[in-house]
Amino acid sequence: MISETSTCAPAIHVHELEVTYGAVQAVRGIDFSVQPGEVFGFLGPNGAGKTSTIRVLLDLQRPTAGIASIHGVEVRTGGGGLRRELGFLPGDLDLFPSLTGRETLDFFGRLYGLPTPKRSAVLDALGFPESAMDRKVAEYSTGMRQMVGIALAFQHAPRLLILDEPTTGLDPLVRESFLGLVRETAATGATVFMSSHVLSEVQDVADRVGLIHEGRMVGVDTIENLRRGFPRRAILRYEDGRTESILDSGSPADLLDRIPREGLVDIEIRPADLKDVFRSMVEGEDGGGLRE
Amino acid sequence: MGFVNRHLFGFLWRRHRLSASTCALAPCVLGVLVGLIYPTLSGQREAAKSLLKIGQRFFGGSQHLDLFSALGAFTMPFQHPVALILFAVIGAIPATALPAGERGRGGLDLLLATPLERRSLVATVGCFQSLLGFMIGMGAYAGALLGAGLAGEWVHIPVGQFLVLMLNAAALSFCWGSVALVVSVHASDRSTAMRSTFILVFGFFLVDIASRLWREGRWLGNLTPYGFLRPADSVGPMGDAGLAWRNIVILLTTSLALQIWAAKAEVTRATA
Repeated sequence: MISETSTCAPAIHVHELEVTYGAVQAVRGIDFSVQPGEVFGFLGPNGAGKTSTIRVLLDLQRPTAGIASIHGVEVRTGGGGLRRELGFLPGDLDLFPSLTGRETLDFFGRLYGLPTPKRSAVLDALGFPESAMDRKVAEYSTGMRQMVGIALAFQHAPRLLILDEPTTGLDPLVRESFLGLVRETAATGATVFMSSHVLSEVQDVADRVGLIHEGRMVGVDTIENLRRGFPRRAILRYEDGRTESILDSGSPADLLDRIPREGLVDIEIRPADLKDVFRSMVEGEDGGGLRE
Repeated sequence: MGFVNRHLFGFLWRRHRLSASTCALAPCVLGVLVGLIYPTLSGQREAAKSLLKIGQRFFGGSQHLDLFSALGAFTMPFQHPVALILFAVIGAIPATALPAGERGRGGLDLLLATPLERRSLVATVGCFQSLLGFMIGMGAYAGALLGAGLAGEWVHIPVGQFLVLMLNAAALSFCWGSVALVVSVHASDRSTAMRSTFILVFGFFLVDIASRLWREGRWLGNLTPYGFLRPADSVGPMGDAGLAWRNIVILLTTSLALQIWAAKAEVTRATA
């Protein structure tokens, strides 16, 4: 078991990673690194290979080929000592229904063998009612279970948080609180690796994003750099009720030249968002299954 | 973190204490019931015995031991078919739940994302199974002694030999638990693990029954774990006192090999 990790190595480094389930190639040779203290959004539609990649990072799935390392230690050999530095929230969260919320957090806290200094702060930030802590998890709503799951990932103040679709089941207010929690955690120097197919929440908190589609990384960059290549979207409305949308990265003059003017009644021009970038990179204009 | 994780052990106890205690108490209840009906049963012994030769063999009697004798009757908690099935099932309860059950449900990812090692998880389940084996063995032992006390036949019971039988029953239970654990490690979910374990438990039980009823087929008993618990051949003045000890050694050695197999298989699984 290796518990000593390098402080200057990338928090996450993935090199030519491949994961195959029988005949299905879920991850096809991806490469990326996440630096310490960074919030990294891992974006892609359902079935793109996000969860498979995350499972490799936690040694829950052995890769078919390639290497995944955390803080300079290969995941495969890092063992429990390496996982002690991680906090994990799975996409399909299944807590033990016979335990109460408090027992769940206590049990996992003991498995980590670490104090849980952030438990109260996280539950308070999410607005989880203290009175519900002694109710069985089976009686919780989906959102409450997700809150306990988030507390479980954050409670021991890990150096690296791996969160798979963390906002699933959260209402908009709690989602905002959660994103605030991510920002606060990153400000303390912890790294956050967060998968999602909800673009808006990732572009609000992530320093960089990696876009994965059909098992391949189609782009890794800062949000600003990705947007820079696709600076604007023009939405055109015509007399007959038609609406057209043009994504353009050329000069303003070129854009105006491209616009068919006959019957045009209105033009709305706005900066490209991450969804536009993703659309252009992977699926033409259909968005590749991503939600705003 | 030690090889056996005490926190996971506590979790397993909390989760399975009711079903495990019920299973462990069943042979005890069986012994008490035998104690209650034995005085009546022994009065009809001569009439019933000639009619029930096959039945005697079915319930574990042998040329050494008449099940209508006090000694024979109070071996029932160790060899009644229901007790034998419970010896097999009690260890399978935690094994089918973890790892297979949690793998299918999604809880295994949460457990193995913690510092808990895969081999430690298997070792902890195995250690818990050994406790359950001891519990059900104690249940059978207590049932035999309580029943004999209730029937006023205490003096006929070799307490020391029954204590060895208790260990033999515990070893049988641990062995079946280890079989269930190997199945569980290879299964994708609880229902798959339960189905496979059920087939093994009842399939081998039928083989054992055949070995009891078919005189020339006694060797079949050696093909199943059940065949290594033979109270009728190991207690009483005609019994082979060393047989139970030999059976314990064989069962524990097999269990250990199965536990190592389960741990290695879990560690090398591509998907947790």
